[in-house]
Amino acid sequence: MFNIKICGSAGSGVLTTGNLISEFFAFYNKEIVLVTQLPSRITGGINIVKLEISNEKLNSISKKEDLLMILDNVDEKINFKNLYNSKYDNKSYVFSKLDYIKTQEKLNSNFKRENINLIDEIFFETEIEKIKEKYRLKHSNIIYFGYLLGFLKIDKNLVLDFISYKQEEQNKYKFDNFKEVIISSFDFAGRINLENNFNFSLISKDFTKNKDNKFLSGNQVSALASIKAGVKFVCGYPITPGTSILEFIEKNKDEFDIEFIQTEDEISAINMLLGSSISSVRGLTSTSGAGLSLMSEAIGMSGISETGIVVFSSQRAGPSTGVPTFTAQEDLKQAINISQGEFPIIVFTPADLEEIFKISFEAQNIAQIYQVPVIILLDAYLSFSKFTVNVKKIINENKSVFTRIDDGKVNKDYKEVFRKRYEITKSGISKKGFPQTNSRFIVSNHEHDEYSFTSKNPEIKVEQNSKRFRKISTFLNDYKDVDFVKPKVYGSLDFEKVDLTLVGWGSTKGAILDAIKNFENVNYLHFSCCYPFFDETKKVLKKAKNLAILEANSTGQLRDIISEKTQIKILEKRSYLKCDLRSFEKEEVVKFIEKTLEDIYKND
Amino acid sequence: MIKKYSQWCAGCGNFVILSALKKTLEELEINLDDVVIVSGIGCSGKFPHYLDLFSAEGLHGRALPLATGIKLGNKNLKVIVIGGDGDGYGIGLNHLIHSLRKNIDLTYIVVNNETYSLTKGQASPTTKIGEKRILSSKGVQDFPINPLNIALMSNGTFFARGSSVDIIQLKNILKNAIEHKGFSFVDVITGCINYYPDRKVTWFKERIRDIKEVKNYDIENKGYLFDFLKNFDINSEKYYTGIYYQEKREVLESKKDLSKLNLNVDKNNKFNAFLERI
Repeated sequence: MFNIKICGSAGSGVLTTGNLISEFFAFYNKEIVLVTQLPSRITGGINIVKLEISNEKLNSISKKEDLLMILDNVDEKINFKNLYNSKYDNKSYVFSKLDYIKTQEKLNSNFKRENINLIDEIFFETEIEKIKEKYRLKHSNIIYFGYLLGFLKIDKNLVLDFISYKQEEQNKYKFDNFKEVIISSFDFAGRINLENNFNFSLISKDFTKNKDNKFLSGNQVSALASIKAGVKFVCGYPITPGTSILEFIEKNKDEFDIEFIQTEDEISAINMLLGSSISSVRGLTSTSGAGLSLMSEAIGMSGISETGIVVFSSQRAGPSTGVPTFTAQEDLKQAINISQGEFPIIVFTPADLEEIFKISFEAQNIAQIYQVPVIILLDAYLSFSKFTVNVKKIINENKSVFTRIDDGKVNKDYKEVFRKRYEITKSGISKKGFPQTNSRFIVSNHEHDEYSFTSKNPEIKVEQNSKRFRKISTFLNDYKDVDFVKPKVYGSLDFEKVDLTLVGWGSTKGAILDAIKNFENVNYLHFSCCYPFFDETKKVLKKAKNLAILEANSTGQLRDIISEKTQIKILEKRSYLKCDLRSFEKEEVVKFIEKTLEDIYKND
Repeated sequence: MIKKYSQWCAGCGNFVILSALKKTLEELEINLDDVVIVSGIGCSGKFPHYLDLFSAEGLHGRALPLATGIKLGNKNLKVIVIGGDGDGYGIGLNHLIHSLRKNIDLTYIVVNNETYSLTKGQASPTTKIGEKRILSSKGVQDFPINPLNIALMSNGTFFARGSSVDIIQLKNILKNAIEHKGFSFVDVITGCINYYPDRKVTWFKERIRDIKEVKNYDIENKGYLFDFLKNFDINSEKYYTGIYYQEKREVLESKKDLSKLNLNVDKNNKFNAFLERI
């Protein structure tokens, strides 16, 4: 595994550099995780991208940094701690001008340039400026990219192949000297014979091309799956980190006959989405906690009028405006309890790209079949980070899922006038009817009788309410064996031998899976669907000898919900709750496991 | 099926509007299966119960985005939105302005009786200054809005004012509104037997004028409106009725009828080809 951190002020091309490096290695079938720390700014400040490259599948990103790139004179403190601690083959390299390092020394009294291995003064002081001048470049990012490949002693032919693959895209951006810039930097790096036993395992391993190894973000995959599920109407209001789902759809709307509308606010978006569903069209909107708050009333209408919709909400640190570009898991209870009154709702909390892809696809079926609002909770970490993923493989390995497009019970008899929209049924699901199909009823947001007329009759309210909730029982029964929906145990399934069962939801899965690799006696119960609760959940929780939970919020939201639904209380000392704007890292999970096991053994 | 007993008071202007709407749909020979009624919340939110048509109730103030979504989902529908002044000019005002900007092909009828009726008589955004109301016991202080002015300033392509005392004029306005390709906004002045018991037919007849009387009236040139509305005292009890302005402009609409598209994208292998490219 090789880890690179890239720092620069906003606008210096930190993300471009990170993406370019990642795309190169993804092109050659490596596994990559790229995470971002981009404060809400257009210029200045500090943007950070970290990426990890591996030959094996990565679930999360490690803390360590083997190489640091500083793109320009950053005016905020850079954290060098992880660079010192992870000496790759006895050295950790820094690509930077001396001036940038001097600035860091001024900002941080604990930092001295002797602590780092600043390499190739000739290139970073002089040569870089020559290249920038020759090709009239404002930024150094592509130069750093070329230099890196030379530094890592990558075969030049591999570099040339990648360049011609990217050439078409670069021409779109009117950058003619893409190849020349990369190759001159590459060649220059090649001339220095760095003294090291560079046991860089990525170089000694296979570099076969794999076009199916895509490099995508959680948001891109959400949009992709929704397109595959037949979404035709998308509307939304820009809010970080939900916006790029809308961007992906907008960019590709003509290809798939999708109508896209940017609305004046989130309230308009959610109501418009309801409207398109009433016309029978599959759709989605994407937002974050603040937008979800505004959408609350309409989601209640989705519940009572039984109009299925899918809403993506990518969690960011709150409350209120909060920290717009940083991650958290603070909106679970909000999603589950959204809106006044009581009505069936389904809340998904996918952990990684594969779960996002499957759940985003299936959510469209679920919304149509059960006629309920479906909320898919992501977080800033999943939305912004990029991972390598083989979408084709996921589709081929789950054909039964991806070939099923089901719109549920729809009235097909157009000769008779269809009026009984809210018919009381055993499953709770009533037939739907759409405009232009001889349907005569009111899509009602009042309490109503079977024929949709507003009602204040006590018996009717009780009856209709029960009918709506029966849909949840039906859903639970239909999906109890669906792998990516029901709660799933990772690691040992032999609860006799397991001393500790970790519990988590959403993106914490990645760091936890990596952490439990080292522990035979620890397994993990993952919630990719946090509401409603499957019966199996209580059974599994009861099997565990000891439970511990990890959540990126300070109040233990899933912990509370588990206690409410199963009466099983996870102790405070067994809860790793944090709201430090960061996703979980495997190193901290390992520490938590060790501490918890120690405590468990003491009490035994 | 329609509701057996009306929820409206005897003498409510809604009956006139209901009648005018029904007649208009009949005369235009519109296929009723293509019509969708979207209602607001309030007394005028009850129209779906008295029309045997496919309908949808909007949340308070949100009928317009709901109707927009319905129309964008199926471009072949005739979508008519009906709500009150409380619903449309207060909580819903934002959406009105943006709908006017979008020029989405809907007909929006606002039943403007200058009060909140269903919730027991609070002031609405069109209630005149000084009117004493249950939550404005010292008299309304906020300057009332002029919805036709808002339509003008938001670049509406069709806006008109009708009244429930002249059903023939109202029918004519509705006919033009429904036929107009674009966002048609119709404010209908009416009374409220309960909260304005003095505002009977004669009260309105004394105060209603024809917009054609206005200097330089030209249905195709809104220049006259700027002068007229500039000097018009909204607190006066004069109501100018008629079609104020109409123009042809690009309409926001879906390229295709989304409700009839083939969902199973893979049948064309479009998705797989797309996957290769990203």
